[in-house]
Amino acid sequence: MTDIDNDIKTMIIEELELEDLSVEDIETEAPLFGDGLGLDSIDALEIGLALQKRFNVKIDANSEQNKDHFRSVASLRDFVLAQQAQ
Amino acid sequence: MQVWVSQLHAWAPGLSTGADWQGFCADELPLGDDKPAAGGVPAMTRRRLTRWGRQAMEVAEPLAPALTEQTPVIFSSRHGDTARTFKLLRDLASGEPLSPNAFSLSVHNSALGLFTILKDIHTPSLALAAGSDTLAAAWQEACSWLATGREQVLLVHTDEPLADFYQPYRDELDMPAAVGILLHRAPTAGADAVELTMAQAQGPRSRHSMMINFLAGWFGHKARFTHASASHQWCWARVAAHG
Repeated sequence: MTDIDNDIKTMIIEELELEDLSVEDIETEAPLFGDGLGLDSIDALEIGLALQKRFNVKIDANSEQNKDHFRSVASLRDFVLAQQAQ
Repeated sequence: MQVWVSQLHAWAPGLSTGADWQGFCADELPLGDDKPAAGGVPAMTRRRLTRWGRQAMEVAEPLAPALTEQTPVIFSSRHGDTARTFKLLRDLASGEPLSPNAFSLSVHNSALGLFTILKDIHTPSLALAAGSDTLAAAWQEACSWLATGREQVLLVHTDEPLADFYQPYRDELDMPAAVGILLHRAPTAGADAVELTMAQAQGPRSRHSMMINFLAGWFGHKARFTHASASHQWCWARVAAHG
């Protein structure tokens, strides 16, 4: 689990150019958007693209569940693992 | 048309204060990958800007307090953010998905748009490119606003050397730099009176970009300084300031 968590955190830092942050600065359970890390809708698109490239997961742009999947690093990890298990 | 310049801020690697610029000479262009701090831009927005945009923000920031609800804003750049554009075109050509962030900031008015959003500016604004005449064209655009009744105009010009792929097409020496200028219709305290005139090109083109020649002339305190673009001869002249 930890490895994937760190891979996702590294991906977020690199893809979103959060140059001042390190993996340790991102809490696995903390919200990524709004009050947490403070990411916005363009970041969400960027993360979606990066997930496809790095983890080969498909994201349905119209899915009502995306909001839950994108809530935190932990929820992204669960989403990636569930997709890869299919 | 004679106008008055009350404030001018410029940035290039290693050159940020007025004192830094006093020794600027077109024969020794600054090198390096330094980026400006662009401290006026919130960190979460700043991370998305390349140096091309950060430079523009860096020089526009100190002029922002002087803007009024009647101050048009002009951003100009000859080439735009070619490093970013090239990456997008390369991804397109190879069938890769485009970065939403890079795409959203790839238009010519991206830095202008961010600036007006951050500063809550509602006045007319314009992003402009006019080949090797760009800086002078932006100056003339500013003059046209002043001639039609605006008291002041903010002009911000930013350029980067072309991305490596386009270097074979380079036709002038350039450097990463930006300049922000506040121009006025009437004399104001401490402002320099300046007039830009244009003539048909005669003789060879200038080796350097217009911004380099402008900054060298301005900070060299020359009474007049010229630039020969591909098609025109431009001359900035400082006029003895009086009312």
